[in-house]
Amino acid sequence: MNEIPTTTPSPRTESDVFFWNRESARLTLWQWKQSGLLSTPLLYPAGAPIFDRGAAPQDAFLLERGIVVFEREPVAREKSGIYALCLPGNLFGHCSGGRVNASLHSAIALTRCIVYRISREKMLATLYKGGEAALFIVRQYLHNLLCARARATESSINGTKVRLEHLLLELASVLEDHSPAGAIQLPLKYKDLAAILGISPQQFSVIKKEMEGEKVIACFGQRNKLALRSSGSKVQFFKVHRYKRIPGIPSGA
Amino acid sequence: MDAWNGQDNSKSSAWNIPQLAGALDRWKQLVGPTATARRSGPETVLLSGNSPARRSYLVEEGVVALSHHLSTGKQVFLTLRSRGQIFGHSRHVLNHSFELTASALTECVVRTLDSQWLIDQIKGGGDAGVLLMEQHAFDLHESATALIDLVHLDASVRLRKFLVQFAAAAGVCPGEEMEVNVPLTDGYLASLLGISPQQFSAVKRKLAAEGDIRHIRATQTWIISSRHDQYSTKAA
Repeated sequence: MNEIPTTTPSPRTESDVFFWNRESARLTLWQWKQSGLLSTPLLYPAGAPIFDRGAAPQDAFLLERGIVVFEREPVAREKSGIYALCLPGNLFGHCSGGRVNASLHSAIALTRCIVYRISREKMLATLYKGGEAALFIVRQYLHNLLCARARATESSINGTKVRLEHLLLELASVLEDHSPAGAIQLPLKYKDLAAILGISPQQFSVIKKEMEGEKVIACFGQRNKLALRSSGSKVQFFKVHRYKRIPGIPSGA
Repeated sequence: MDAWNGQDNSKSSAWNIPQLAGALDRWKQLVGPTATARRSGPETVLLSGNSPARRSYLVEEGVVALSHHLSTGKQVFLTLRSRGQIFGHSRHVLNHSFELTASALTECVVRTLDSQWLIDQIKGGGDAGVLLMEQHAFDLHESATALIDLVHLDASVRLRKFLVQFAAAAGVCPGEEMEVNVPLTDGYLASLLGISPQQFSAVKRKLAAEGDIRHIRATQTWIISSRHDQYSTKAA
């Protein structure tokens, strides 16, 4: 059985407080559940769109389980349209009070996801009413914003190899499906990982080779297995097919 | 289609800054005459790591850059704040901040607010919480746009976009040519675009050769032509 880390990624920079970790995600979800603003849980199979590009911003969504990808139209066949991930405890599809244009991306369930819808009307009514619930909403939006900024800043702070290592560790913490041999099922292609890191597939290939040379990562099997050594632990991924997009938005119940 | 007014959903909301103008009146109604407003010249540091955590700021005029100071001494540009936007509040509202430095990029009028007053306003209900939520939702949309741009647009397009966005925030009227004073060094602009100073020089040369921009270094003036601009600045 391969060793799967159960801990969150180790501290990286002074902005670590804004990076994903399981405990703070759990706490955030618990707080949202106390707020009375969440819908009943909505289940989305892998590949199901939660909203499509061009949709008018209405309600916000809160991810409880799984991973959601944000995808825009790919500019070229060899490039992925995915540009970011949403991890549990985070908001997405933010309701805006009418100031923001239609969504620039689609939000698609990368894995099986549990999502809550937060109605725009309920959220605005709570803000107008005030109290701790209003402050909680403002804090959540602010926290999500600072997390987004921390991620954007990471590309200025860390080299691409470090960012790839962090991304894989983060995925290892969130992805739940394992192969019979214990490897984590990774439903992303290399070009998707490249797009999330903001580099070209060619640059990704060069970096991957360099990291293989440095024995930080290893590719084996029929190139569908990927192992990462980091902070004394070893994480193994088994690449599986990425979702096939399911047309239409399921009722989700 | 007038992209300045953000009516074209296929384009970036980076051009939506004028839409936020109404927020200033709403904030002014809440703040009243008590808070002090201060006029500052370009390059004035309005907020730094040493500033009191209980102070927030409301931009009434001008453009402010927020940046993040790393322990290495490096500074990373985060975003622009303009008319009707609040900054500095995260330190008190969240007890943590990621926006450690705010510098005026143009002549600015900035009103100082007590962050605890802001929290009390949110808890008291009414417009304050809605205004902040709207600003943060707008910022989240903007950060997504910036991320998409970083992946999908080359640096020359991103430079043009930034200059047009800056001109809009600074109140420059859209036209065939826009002239805007940008008091930022090439190195700072390069870091903002996520490229090296050498790459920045090459991008600037390319855009100048194509007649898209002119940079008059002595006066820190950038002249942006809308001739080939897909995010065009056509007059309404």
